[in-house]
Amino acid sequence: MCTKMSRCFLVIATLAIMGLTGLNAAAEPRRGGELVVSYGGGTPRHFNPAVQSGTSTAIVGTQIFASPLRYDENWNPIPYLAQTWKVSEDGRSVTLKLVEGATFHDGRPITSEDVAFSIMAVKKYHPFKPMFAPVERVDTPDPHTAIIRLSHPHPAILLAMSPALLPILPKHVYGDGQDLKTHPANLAPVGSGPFKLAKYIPGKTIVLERNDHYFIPGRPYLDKIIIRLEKDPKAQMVEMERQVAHIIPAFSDLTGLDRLSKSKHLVITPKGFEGIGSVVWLAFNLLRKPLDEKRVRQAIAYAVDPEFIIKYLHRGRSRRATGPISPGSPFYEPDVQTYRVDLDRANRLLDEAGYPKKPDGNRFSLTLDYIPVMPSQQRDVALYLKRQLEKVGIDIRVRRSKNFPEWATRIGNWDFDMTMDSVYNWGDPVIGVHRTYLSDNIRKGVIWSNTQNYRNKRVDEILGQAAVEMDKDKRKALYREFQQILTEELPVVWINVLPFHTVYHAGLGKPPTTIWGVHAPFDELYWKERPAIVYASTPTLETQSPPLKQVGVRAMDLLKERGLYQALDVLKDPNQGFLDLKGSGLHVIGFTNKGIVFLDNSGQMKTGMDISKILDISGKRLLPQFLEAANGKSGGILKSKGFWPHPGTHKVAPMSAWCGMLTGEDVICVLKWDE
Amino acid sequence: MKFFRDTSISNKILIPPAITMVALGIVLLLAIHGFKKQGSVLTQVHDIALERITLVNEFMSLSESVQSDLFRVTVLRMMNIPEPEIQSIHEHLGQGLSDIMVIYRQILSKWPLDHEEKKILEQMKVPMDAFSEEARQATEVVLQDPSFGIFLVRSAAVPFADFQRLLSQFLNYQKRKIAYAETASRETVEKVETTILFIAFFTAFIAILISVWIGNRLISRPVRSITDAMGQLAGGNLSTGVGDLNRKDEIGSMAKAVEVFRENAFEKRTAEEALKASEVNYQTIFDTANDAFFIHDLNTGQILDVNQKMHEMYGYTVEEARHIDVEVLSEGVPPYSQEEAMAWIQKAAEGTPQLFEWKAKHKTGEVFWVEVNLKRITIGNEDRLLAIARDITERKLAEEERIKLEDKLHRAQKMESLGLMAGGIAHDLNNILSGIVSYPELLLMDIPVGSPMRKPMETIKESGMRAVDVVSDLITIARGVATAKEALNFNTIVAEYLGSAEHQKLERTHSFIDFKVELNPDLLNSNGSSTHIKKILMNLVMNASEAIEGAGIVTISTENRYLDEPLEGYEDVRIGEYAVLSVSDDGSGIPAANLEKIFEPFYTKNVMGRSGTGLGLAVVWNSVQEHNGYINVKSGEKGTVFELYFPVTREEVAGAEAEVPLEDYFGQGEKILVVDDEERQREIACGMLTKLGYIAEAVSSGEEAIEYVKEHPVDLIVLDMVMPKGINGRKTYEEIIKIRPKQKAIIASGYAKTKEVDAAQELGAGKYIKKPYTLEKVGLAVKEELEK
Repeated sequence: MCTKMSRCFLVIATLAIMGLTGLNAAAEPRRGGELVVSYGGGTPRHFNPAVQSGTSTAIVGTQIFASPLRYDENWNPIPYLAQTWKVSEDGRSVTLKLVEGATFHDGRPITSEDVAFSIMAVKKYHPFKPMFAPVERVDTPDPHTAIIRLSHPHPAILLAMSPALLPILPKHVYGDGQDLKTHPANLAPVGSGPFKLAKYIPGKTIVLERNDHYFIPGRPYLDKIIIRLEKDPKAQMVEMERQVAHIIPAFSDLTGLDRLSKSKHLVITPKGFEGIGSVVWLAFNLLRKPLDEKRVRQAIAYAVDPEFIIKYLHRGRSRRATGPISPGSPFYEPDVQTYRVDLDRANRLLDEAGYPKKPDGNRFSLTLDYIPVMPSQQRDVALYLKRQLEKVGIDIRVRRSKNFPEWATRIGNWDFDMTMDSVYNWGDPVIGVHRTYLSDNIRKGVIWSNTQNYRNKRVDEILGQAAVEMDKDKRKALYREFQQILTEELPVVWINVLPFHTVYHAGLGKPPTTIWGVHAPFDELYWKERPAIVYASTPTLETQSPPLKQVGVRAMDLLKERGLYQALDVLKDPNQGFLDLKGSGLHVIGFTNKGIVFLDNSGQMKTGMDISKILDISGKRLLPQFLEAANGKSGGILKSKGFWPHPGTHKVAPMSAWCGMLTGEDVICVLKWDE
Repeated sequence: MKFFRDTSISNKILIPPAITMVALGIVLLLAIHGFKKQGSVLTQVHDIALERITLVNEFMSLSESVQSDLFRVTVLRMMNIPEPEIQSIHEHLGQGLSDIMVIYRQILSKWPLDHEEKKILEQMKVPMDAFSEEARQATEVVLQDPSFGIFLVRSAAVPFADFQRLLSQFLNYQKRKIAYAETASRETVEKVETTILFIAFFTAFIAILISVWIGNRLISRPVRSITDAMGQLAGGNLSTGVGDLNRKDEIGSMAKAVEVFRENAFEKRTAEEALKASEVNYQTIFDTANDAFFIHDLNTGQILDVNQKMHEMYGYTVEEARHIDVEVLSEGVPPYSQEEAMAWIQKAAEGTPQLFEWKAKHKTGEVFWVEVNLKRITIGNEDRLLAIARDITERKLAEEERIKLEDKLHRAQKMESLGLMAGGIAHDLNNILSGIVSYPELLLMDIPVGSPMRKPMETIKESGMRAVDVVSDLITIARGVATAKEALNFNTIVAEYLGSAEHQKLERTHSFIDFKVELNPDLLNSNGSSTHIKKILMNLVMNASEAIEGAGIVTISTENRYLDEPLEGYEDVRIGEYAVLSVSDDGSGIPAANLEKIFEPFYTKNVMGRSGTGLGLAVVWNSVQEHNGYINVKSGEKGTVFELYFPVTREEVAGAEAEVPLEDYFGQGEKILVVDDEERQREIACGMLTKLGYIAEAVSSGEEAIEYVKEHPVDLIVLDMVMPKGINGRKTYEEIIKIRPKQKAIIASGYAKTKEVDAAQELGAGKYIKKPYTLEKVGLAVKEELEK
């Protein structure tokens, strides 16, 4: 009944949206085309979300694996592999009715056995233990019915069946007894999602192809998805600007967002990260003095100005987080104690707490760690906190970790005073929030457990009740109290929500803006209007043309014919007549008319590098000289008085170049070293 | 203010120095506070600037250290020192870059910045961002490829230089600001000092002013005013009050004492004055009363005092009145003699007020009516009798008049009802009579002459014929003059009558009577029924003839008459032009008591002649009424005159075109002003004058005429003599010749020449013409006067 109701509602809602959007709704999504995703979130270890959390696995995994449910923009569950679902009145069982005729990529039907297998696998292997901890067993009375049996009511169970959290694995592939964490099929996954894995070049590219036997008729619309793993946001930006990449999931480079917002063919949205629910905070180690004292923690909160962080350090791109639950969540409570910056009050509280200023002006010293990624969210804020806390007599030593594991080890093992941290809610508070505040989740060595060592009986009680309370309003009330207690006791100082944005090409239809955003299947995504790159006409080549020009024209033809990534392989091959690293170089570079590099076959310059300010020996900027040549001055030949280091030998020598326009904005140059 | 006034004089003297001290104290306190504040502001400015200088210095050294880190990293990498070795510098560099940004943003967000500072900081943003970006980029590249990295290190140098330059600019600006703040503060201190000096002087000045003010306003002046008041009191002026009574100081006590003295004197005088005033009031009332007051000795009845009105009413002076009897003041004929008067006085003396009407006598002997109110009163412990006499002559006359009018109305009603009754009878009688008249005629044809039956039959016939006449008259009375009226001239009617068989017969039967006719040839026309007029004339002539025993004269006359004023006895008569037809005799006359009844039908023939139907005068009365006319009967020992007034019409009599030789009277455009209170008369006069070639204007009163001639000279004025609503013609002319001494005028009036006309003519007015206006009369008079 309940299921039918939601479905009815969905139909009505869909109709309403169609009615509202009018012409757009009338336009049928079109089949075809490929999508290039520029992904900067790191290289996925493998593609099986059942045993691995994290966004890089989720982005790929949700394309390959289907799940029982998916979600819309307003936290409503929508049927996916489960046609209907029903939570029993006592909340202790959930009955799923599966779509009939659905198959895995290998053609084998999906049965309730697979569902049961997957749930138990996730329960066993996934780091988010609370997701399926109450599951006792999954009954499979028939091939299309799965009944999840719970030890107690579990309100988070439906969100836990989202695509990123519960992939339905084929039991016949993964149930062969091998350790799922290291199962070979994790890298050659067989799922039932809209796309199949076609090719994986580790650290570089993941190619996904359309699943023609997808159980939702007509979908997906795209033929191919190419996920390019590109850590450097500058490179990502130039790819998006040049329309060679079409979507950046979870982009958070602040100056980059400013720059990309100037491109008319790009759309930037902060939507789609409500499910993830990130919160950046300053955590205290409550085992250490003086942080065990509440007034000290409150004093620190009064010394920090989150508005300054958001408005100036984050350029207004992030949102304020006032408590443990991310503001996009239905359980978010805005009416909590907040700490407006007030240095006098901070000083007073510290005095009261018994930490007066010493003659040197300091009260005490503390270390401050930060995660060595996303400097704007971590390091910059840490440095700001250092300056700010100095003002109230707290001496801060900002401690750098070489990499994420180093930081995680330090924090997990409680080897810290204070640390910057960013933690995700993962949909339901039971999944992502409880873990950091429950006293029974103080687990040494485990990052994102209760590493603060916060203990509050009432909080434990509330979270215990909220974990089994099926009534939404009652849960809300419990979480309200929870948030009020925490904001008063301050085991951490919550600062902001990560400025995650999805940047996508304006020609795309149905962009991923549900609560799970890009961490959900792209089966509805389609090209309304595909990007078109208009190339400039290639300069004519004559027999007497200098070798530089000959190389340049060939490179341009190649780029036009194959596209940047396919052409790159050839352009790097000396046997094909490019890149004479042992000789004069003949080194091909490409950059935009603003001086942003998108191509360098020698690898001397990285994609995204800005060469606009490079000077020649006489102190003149080189970029205008390149552009003049590209526009035909001296037949495209530039004799530089400047120098340029050889990409192979690194020797500095006078340089000559031939330049031409690839498109109206992009320039290709071939550089040569004169002996 | 009140405090200053009320406090004792010794305190008053102390006030100014006290005020001065307090004011100076406040000024000093303010000054001390101001200096302190100034000091703290200065410190604050200094602190802020110092903080800024410190931070900016930090900013500068930070950026320099970043720059030097960058060079160090580059150089070390060029030396091929492995990356981990230079990691710490690298890290320091990265943190430095972050710090630069944090400091910059803090400066931007936390400090209150002036315009110049904002400008410098905004300019700084571009090179700073560029430097950061270039430095970051260079750092990364240097680690990979130091030789290429140098490129980028170099390209970072340009924005760095710009950034540093702007930083120093900012720093210098801060230093300038401190210097400026110090100067400003010094200037402020000087200003404050000057201000304090000024305030001190000013305060002293104010204190002196207050002293002067207190001495003058609160001490000298009030003392002076009290001595003045005492002087006034001594001089007898009690009305000037003493001021400063509310004061509570010594001066106040003094003032109160003087005021008590003044009040006592004042009360005494006020009482005296009130008594005097009361007497004056009494005398004023006594003298100005509109009734005559007599105060009699109650015992002797002697007049003790009378008022001014008594003098006016009776003609005696107060002194004369004290020596006369009541007898002299009364008509003297019972019941208005001394005896009755004494009786009234007696009754009043007994205590009952008496009110009665009395015929009083003026010193000149003229008798008039008064209403007397007698009352016993007490004046100054003496019993007196107050007699108040009010002149009620007019009231009495009005009463008589009212009674007369009522009688007249009564009579008219009686005539009307009689007429109606007669009409009713006549109708029936007419049928009855035809038998009585016709048959004797037939019978007489068969009765031989000399038959004894013939005489009685003839008598029957005669009686019948008389009855027919009676009925005929009755019908006339009853139906009124139903026939159409037309313009006619009484002269013609008279002529026709004189030639009629009836008149011939009358002359034969009354051979001792001489019938005289006096017709005015200019008689104006009237609207009427000639038959009825003739009948009227016949009846009147017959009456007149019968009134004469033996020989006598009956006169028939016509004339034009203009009524300026109502005809005596006919107050409802309209003013205007009338054609008058008179029949008079010199017979024995009609007794006054019977005059009222002569028009009643069948009034005794003993009075009104011996023959006729007995309806003759009733018919006359009725017919005249029907013609909107009036009858005026005057009768005395020398005979009776019946004057019949008929309204004039200006219509011509049909077929009787009057031939007037107008040319003789024509004017030559002279300006004539007609003054007449009757609109119709103005129109007639103006119309005639215009026809005669004059330019005529008209005004409706003497006053208007005077105003008119002030502005517009005229050649001649036609001046109506009787204008009851305003000044009359004589007075008008008198005023006009004051403005235009030789103004020509002719006088017009409906009356015969009066004394007023004579007076006007003595003043210089010209010919007198009697209204109504006729073309000939007006033309001739105007022409004559203009040619004088």
